Amino acid sequence: MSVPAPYYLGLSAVLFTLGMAGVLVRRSALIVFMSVELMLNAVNLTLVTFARLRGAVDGQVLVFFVLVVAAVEVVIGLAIIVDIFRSRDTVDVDDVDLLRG
Amino acid sequence: MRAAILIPLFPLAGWVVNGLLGDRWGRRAVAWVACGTVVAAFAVSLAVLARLLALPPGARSAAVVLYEWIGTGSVRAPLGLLVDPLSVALALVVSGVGALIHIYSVGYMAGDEHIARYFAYLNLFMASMLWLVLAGNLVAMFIGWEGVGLCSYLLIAFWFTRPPAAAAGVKAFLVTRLGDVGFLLGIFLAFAVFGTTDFTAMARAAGSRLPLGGPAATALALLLFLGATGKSAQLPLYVWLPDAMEGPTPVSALIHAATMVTAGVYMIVRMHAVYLRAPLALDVVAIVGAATAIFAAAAALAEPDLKRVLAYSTISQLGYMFLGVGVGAWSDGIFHLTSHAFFKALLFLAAGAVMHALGGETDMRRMGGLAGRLPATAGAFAVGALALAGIWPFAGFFSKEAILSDAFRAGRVWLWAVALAAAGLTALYIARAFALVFVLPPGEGSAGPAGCREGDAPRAAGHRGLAPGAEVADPPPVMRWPMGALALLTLLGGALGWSAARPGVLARWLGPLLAPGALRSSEGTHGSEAALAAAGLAVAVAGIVLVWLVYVRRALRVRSQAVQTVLAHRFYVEDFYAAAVVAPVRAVARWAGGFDRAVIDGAVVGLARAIGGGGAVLRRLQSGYLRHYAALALVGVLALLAYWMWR
Amino acid sequence: MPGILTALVAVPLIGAAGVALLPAGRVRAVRAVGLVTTLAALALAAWVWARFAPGTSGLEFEERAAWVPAVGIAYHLGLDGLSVSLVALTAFLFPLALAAAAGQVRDRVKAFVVTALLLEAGLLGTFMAQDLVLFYVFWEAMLVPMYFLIALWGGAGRAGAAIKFFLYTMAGSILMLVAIVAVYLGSAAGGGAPTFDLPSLLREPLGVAPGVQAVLFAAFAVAFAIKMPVWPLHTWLPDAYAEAPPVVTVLLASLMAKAGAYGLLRFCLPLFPEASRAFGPLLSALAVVGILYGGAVAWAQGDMRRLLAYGSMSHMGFILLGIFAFDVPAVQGSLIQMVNHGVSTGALFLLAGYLLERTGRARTDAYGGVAATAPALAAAALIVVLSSLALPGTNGFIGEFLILVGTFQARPAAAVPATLGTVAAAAYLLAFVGRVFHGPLRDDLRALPDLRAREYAVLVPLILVIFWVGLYPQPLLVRSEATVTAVLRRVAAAHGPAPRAAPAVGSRAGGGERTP
Repeated sequence: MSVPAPYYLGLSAVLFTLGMAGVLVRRSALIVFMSVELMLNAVNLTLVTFARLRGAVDGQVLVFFVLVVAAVEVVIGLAIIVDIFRSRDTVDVDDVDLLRG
Repeated sequence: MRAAILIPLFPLAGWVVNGLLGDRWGRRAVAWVACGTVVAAFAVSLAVLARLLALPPGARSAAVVLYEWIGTGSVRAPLGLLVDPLSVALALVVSGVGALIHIYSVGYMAGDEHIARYFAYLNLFMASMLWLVLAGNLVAMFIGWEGVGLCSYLLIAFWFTRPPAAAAGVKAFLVTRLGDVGFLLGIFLAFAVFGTTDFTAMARAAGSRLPLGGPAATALALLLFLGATGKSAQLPLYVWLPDAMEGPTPVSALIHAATMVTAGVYMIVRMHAVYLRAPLALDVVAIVGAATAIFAAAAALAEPDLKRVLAYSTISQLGYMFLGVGVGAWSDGIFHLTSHAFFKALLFLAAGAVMHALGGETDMRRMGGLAGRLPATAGAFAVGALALAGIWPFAGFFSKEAILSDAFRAGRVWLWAVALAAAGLTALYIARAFALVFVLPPGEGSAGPAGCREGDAPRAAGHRGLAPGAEVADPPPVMRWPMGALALLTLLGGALGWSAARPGVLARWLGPLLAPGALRSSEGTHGSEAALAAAGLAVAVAGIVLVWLVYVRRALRVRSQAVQTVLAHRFYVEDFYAAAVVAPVRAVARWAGGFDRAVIDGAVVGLARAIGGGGAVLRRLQSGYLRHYAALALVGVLALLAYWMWR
Repeated sequence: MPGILTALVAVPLIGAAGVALLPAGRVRAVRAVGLVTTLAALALAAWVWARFAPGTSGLEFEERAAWVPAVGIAYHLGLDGLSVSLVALTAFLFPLALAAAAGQVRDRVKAFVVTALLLEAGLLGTFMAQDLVLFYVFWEAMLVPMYFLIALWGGAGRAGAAIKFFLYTMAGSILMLVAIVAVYLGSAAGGGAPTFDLPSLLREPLGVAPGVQAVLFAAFAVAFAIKMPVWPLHTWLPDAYAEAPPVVTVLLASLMAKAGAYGLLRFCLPLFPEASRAFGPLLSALAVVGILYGGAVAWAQGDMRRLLAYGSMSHMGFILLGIFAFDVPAVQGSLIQMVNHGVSTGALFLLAGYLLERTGRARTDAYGGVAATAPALAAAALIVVLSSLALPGTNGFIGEFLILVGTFQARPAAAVPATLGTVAAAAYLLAFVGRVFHGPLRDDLRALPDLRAREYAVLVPLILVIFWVGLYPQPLLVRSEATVTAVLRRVAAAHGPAPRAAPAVGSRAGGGERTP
């Protein structure tokens, strides 16, 4: 027998909250970045769960989109982080406020 | 009749040729082209006249349509001519006098390096003026109407490097354009009333479309008359003409005496069918004419500048013409137009000969005693002056008496009295001018009524005025011949209007066109006719005698400082305009310029600043820290969740 | 299937691509390709203009292709009486402007030519588009190149002027975009599929409430009024006209301003006839204010390009006045005046550019007596000035006369003060001539060169058009008469708010004739 849906959703919520907390409190850009990935995958889990529940495939299709976006994001995000490290010798997000108005 | 199109086309071709190539040709070629085209126009006019004479009097009218010029919706205006006795008569006067003045110009402008430009403008003027008199509808006429105004501007400002000349040109153009607003509105109204502006069609429909004395007829007549006051320098728009004397003197003779300024009179005669439906407007025309006649004659009294005396004289004589047409004496208005063209052109050409001899001097206070040294010029001037003063048997006597008696017989005794007084003043100022220039010894003139035109800009390089021992001589034959021809015309021109039995030649020629309802009353007897003529003659002689007594004999000293000051300032009309019209308009324009920057643009820039300021406040939210954004997003999500749960 | 109109838009684009491929250093080649391209476009436009059959109000040379069929957007080009002469004018002015630019734009020539060609494509498309979305695309496509033309090649204050111009016109465009979407949604009210296609839209009255129609009209009208510009939405104009390089000002004043007036005739009047009638008096009043106000402010200006800029605005007031007189001669006058204004004002700014090129002086009182040293330049300026102040025999008279005579029949109260505007025009233009060309010759201007052969080549065609239209305007008038009559019949048929009811006979006829 399969695991009931609420378990998946609960796991997803826990993962999302962990990721959220990581984004909000960690200072290292890399960790923040990994936390974002965690959140994305939490969402993916939810999508797959609901797709399964509804017996439709569109949720699973959407997961592929998210995966692609995540992959792209990794590439661009890491490139930015590397660039910031090169220019500032730090990846601490508290030291970078280039977008301040 | 299609040949009539050649009349304006010849000078137009002269303009094109001289304008494009004149600078590369010799002066002789330029002069030949310019004079030749105008003489050709005169010859064609004569041929057309002969053609018309061969027709029975009732059939002497032909419309020549060249092509559809403006045509859309209900507005149709073909480019067409109307060949009839009136237009041919005017074409003859314009091209005839014009040809003489062209020939005179060859001598007068001989020393000017821009002779090609001069003759190009002059030919363009001839083309426009001939088109004006020949045009078959109001819109087509407006081409000529504005064209002559343009040439007037160009020729007044011919010596454009002199600030007064340039300013006078602009003034002439702007003031006449103010009148042209009336003319344009008149055209619009004519379209609204008639659906066309064709002269023949309007004349035919005037009786049915325009109720007698109705607002439409009065408005149309007055609007067109407003255009005429501008172009013909009548009160209140006369102010540009005295300044127009900055132009070369042949130009003053041609444009500002003989032809262009009479366009208003011609237009009213052309539109007489409309004016007959508007008695009120006709009265306005007559009153403005009489008032201008006496006003300008008075203004000429104290003028120290020879050309400006003649300019005021022109304004005054144009007033007579308007008085004539205002009492319905169409053919007498045209008669005075014609004789005035002869004698005033003669006077200007003689004045030009004086200036030619004196190196451009026009101030009469620096002249004097020239009769002996310039006998031919003095003779020509005398003939013109006697005609202007209205002395028998010169043309001016007949035409002026005709208008005076018309005014009297039309029951406008007051206007007749004003015009008679103006005739006295006319004799006075022209005799004074003649005395100052030709009779009195040099320097005496300054003892006369003081003018106050100090600081006149030099008119030409070289010596001016009567330098002692200077070579002063009559002009060369090329200038003397046209003067002689005009003197002859002045002497004989009276025959056009006065014959053994009234109506005269001109009236009979124009008769079929103008007869219906032209003169209001003709109950004058031969006796009263003679008495009126005698009164006019007596006033003229009295004026001349008075000048003789005051200036030559010095028997009389009638002089009041106040009157002199008022006269010298020309009744302060121009000062009034400067203060009441020009200055406020200038101030409004300045103010509008500031308003545009400060208020309208200020509102736009202010809006931009306000948005920018709002942005400056909001940008504080943008801390630049990633976690602040994330936290805000979280708060937003929680708020949304809360909203959906507790909705 | 692509036809001649597509070719007309494509030629400048291809030319722009061709220029972009050239090396930037080969300035002569860049200029030559640009000139040849615009001349080719002129040849096409002249052919179209000559082949255009007068007497029908419908679209000719129509081309239609599906673009986004799901939402009713089509690639739909066509010419009728409103646009055929404007297309010809656009194609006529661009070669002249590029030729004149050779003396004024010396840096980044390649970029300049490319941008100018893109602008030409945008303008031509704007005048030919028959689909609202396509129109909007072209409308914006001409805005962007113009922004760069001002911002990159302008004078000292170019940055501010360009941003002001861009934001001002953008604000209007956005309103129009919203209105376009609203029109699209409203077009489905009759039960059919919604569409952006203009002829289809005109087949039936728009299914919107009268109040909404007024709002939509206002949104369109504001966008067009800014472009014209109409008082009081004009303050971008003096800055942009004075800061742009003179040849760009020529394009701005001669062509972009016409796009605004054209938009009013093409969209506002047919789409919103009731609202047009309701707003007519207001817009006529604004036109009169613009005429007199522009004239007065022009008279007070010391900078010659600002003088001409305000004068241009004053003249655009006549065009607006004619459009909202709803009278065939007046609207015909407005259309022909658009061409005339393009020619005359363009020539005036060209001449101002020639003066600036020679001396670098912008203020009129820094000149004096130029006619003595450059008589041909002065003569050309005089002819152009005379055409601009509507001297009979030149083109300006035909337009202003028709506008005023038509307005006099429809709105005499507006025509009388507007006629005074002709005096104002004479005042500021003759003041310009007087200060620059007349008066004593300044010593520092004695060496001022007269017109060069290249400058003759630019001015002579313009002067020929001035006299041609002035003496024989019928070819222009007959081309637009039927369309103008149809549009006005539509406006006249719109009595009161009855949008949902069966269309009135007249309006059906007006719209019906436009159907392909």
